[in-house]
Amino acid sequence: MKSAALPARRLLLGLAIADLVVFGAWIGREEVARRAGVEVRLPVEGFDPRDLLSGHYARFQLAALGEAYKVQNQEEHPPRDRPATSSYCLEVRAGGLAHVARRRLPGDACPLWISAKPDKYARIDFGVDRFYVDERRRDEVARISAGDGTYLVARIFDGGRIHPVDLVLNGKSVRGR
Amino acid sequence: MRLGRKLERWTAAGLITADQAAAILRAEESEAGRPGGKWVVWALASVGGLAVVAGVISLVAANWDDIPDKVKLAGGLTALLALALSAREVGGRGDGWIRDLLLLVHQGMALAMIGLVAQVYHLSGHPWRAMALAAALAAPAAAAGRRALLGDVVLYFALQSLWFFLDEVDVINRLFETRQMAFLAVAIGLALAAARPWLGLYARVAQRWSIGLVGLTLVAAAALWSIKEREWGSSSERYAGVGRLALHWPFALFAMAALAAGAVQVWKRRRRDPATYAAALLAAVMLVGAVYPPHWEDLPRKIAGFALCCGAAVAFTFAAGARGSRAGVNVGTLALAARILILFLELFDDLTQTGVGLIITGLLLVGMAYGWWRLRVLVPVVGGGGGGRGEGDKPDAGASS
Repeated sequence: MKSAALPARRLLLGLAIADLVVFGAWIGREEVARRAGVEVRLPVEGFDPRDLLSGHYARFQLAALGEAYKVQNQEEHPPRDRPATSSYCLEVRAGGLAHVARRRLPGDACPLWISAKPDKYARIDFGVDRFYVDERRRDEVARISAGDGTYLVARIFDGGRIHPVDLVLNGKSVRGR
Repeated sequence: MRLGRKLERWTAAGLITADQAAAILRAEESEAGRPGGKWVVWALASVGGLAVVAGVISLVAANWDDIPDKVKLAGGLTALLALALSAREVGGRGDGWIRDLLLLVHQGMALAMIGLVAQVYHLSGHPWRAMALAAALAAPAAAAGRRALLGDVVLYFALQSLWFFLDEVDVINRLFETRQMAFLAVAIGLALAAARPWLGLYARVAQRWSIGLVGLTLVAAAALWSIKEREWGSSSERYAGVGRLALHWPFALFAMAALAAGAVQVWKRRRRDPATYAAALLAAVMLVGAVYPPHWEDLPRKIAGFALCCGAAVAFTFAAGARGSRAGVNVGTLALAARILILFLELFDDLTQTGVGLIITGLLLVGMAYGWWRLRVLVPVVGGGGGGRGEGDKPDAGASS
């Protein structure tokens, strides 16, 4: 009985340590990204105030997505196959909003860039398409339409990954920053 | 009928003595007085406990948006650690049910924690990774506990993760449209059946998931034999340009899993039971024929599917009987009866055929009932003939078929 109990006790100690390491590392990584990354404002278009299947999430599409497709279509030799990842240089324009300027090639020294992965339909996917919204603000959010004052505040970190920080709708922060 | 009246009848019939009747009554009354017998008390306590837990969750949910993110994350992580460490300290106290309950809550809490991190940091996509992580964190809890339910949770998380992954790589629609999903489901079921001897406490978990996956797929396969050829033709044409390996890999998995399950069956069981092999073979033919249908006219194909299904059900019934599984015999008999009934529903066109069909179906079912009754000579478990609980009523013949 004692010999059977001992591995169980070790296993459960290991489980507690695994919980701490897995979630601690995950939370730590996201916190570092949000503190150390470069802040950008990415304009948002195509806006759905609520994702009914997931709860109180605002679903949106980054304007960078359309701009990336535009860049891709203008290229003389667009990649025929699905690229593992692709990255795009950003430039900050009027209103402090960041837009896709060109594809980031190997050795390109653009200071600000974001990376994308193709999704299952070989479409460009920046991995950011929803933002949690306070339930009490759902009516306010439902009346918002995409425009100049509607953008995602994000931090760019670890290989061009976008880490959402806030969603600004018609100039008003969803998080109340 | 109340036990007291039954005992009076048995005493009057001379089956038991008055002393024995009194002893039985005393034993039953003392059993009813034990804490385990007070199910009403436990049921009320459980409902009360659940109400308290649901109330606490509702209160937290109502104030969710006022709770700072850091507090939410710290609370979730603390709860996870507390559950794992409490389970460790409680250990095998009682029969270990407190530890196993804590571990079950930990398994659910790990998934909730993943969702919480995703919510706080607005992370999107890749749900298969979340489920895979939940399965990985649930596995040690299952290994440390002693309740099969903990293993069910791990398997559910793992299979859900596989489902999401197949969806993410855009394979799931193709698997359904080409019917290869049937091979994948049976392959997983057979792999679980083959792994049973090494799973110890969790052999029963593997057994029920195996029976579920294989059984449901075989029911679907039996139904597919009745679908008209033009209804499936379009999907096979749609994927004409896809490579063979990309299209038929589930079949290869199925073949490998079937070989592994067959090898384990031969290696582990001394008795060679022809009915088990016949059931497995007929079920395999039915499955393969459902995914790669023969280009026959509708009626011959329906009849061939009917014959295969009935043959597999009969062989399964005998195999289950030979292993002493009354549940298996009943399942096989019911499957046979259901398939006969469905055939006549398929063949009905007008009122005359309906009437004739119902008469034939009724006679066949009466004949089956008679045969089932007579079968107790060959298969002792039928009708409670005292074949005993050979494999503990484990219908694992289903898994092997």
